[in-house]
Amino acid sequence: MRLCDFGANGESSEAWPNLSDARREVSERFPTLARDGYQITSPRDRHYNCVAWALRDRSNWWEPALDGAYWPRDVSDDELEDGDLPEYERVFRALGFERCADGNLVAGFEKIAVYANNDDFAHVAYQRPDGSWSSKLGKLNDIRHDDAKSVSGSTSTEYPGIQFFMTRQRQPHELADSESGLLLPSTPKSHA
Amino acid sequence: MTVLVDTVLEPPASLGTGAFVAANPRMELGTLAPLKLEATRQMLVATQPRESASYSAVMRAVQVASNSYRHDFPAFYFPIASLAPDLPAAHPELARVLLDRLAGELEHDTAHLSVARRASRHPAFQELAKLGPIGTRVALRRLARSPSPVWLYFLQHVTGERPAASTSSVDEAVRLWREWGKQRGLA
Repeated sequence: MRLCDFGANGESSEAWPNLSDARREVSERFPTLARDGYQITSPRDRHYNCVAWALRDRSNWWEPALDGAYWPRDVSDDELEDGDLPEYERVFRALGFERCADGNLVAGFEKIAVYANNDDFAHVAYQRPDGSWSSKLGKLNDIRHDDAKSVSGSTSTEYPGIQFFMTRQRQPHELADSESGLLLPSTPKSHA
Repeated sequence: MTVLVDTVLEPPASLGTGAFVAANPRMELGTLAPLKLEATRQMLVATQPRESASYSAVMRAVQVASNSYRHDFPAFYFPIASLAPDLPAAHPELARVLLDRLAGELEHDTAHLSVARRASRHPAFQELAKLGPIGTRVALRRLARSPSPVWLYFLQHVTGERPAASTSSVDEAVRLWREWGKQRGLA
């Protein structure tokens, strides 16, 4: 995977003609993010979601009990009826994460921010080595944002608030850990 | 579109409030309340036969409403299953326009969701789900054009089946669901 050499603001409209459309779409849905500032770091991709991105997988959509999605455990709809947050946390724990107090940067450790509405999981963001955060917005783009809270808000399209943070020893994230953290939009990617 | 609006802005007086709501989308749809929807539904039920000129006029008004609300009233979703459940049988072409619009709204509004099953709370998802096999046909059609985990969840939610449970590939699941639809004459 080749990283893109973007301009001063971290984005290149030359390398990616649809960048302005992508920015408009993201900003409309996430007004707090638009106010706080963010960078788009990949093109849209419906093949993977935020959970996959936080766990270094760009080929699978991670979601329990969904056709065409990957999930490491067999889970029935009944088990998710009263809220799926415990199931997500169970999988994060199985992958080495433990709850931690906050999203402050700690050398040698990576953190994730888990967003939920009561017991309904909504989103997870990954902390980059420089302390900023990386989010995959559904089937839209990957973005980099300085404040983990920027993707949450009170509008119907923003994610709910952060329920908790989790941490584990930092493992390489080839794409999100790069200095620029930006992917070349035209990079071809194969899907299983 | 302007011609159509002019055509339907004066619905038959006998149709009452519901027709006014349907015929004045720019004035009313943004604040369309359940009571107004119910008034429209009652009006549609009371207007017999369904092939009458007045019924068609209101349906055209509904079509205009559906086509014109987008920029002014992005939060409006035409509740076809609740308001006019017989529409697909009575006016298949109009129903197709409305259902595709509904499906497009669902795709647009849920594109940023990280959890496909959360889309089940969207009013467009619920309206399409109420239509049963008709909604399934719409989902299979959209799945071919715009593959998405949301449509995969819609199909398994509405049909109760999981023909693609064994794959973790969105594209493979789309293929398996389309095959499932073809075998049942739904795609």
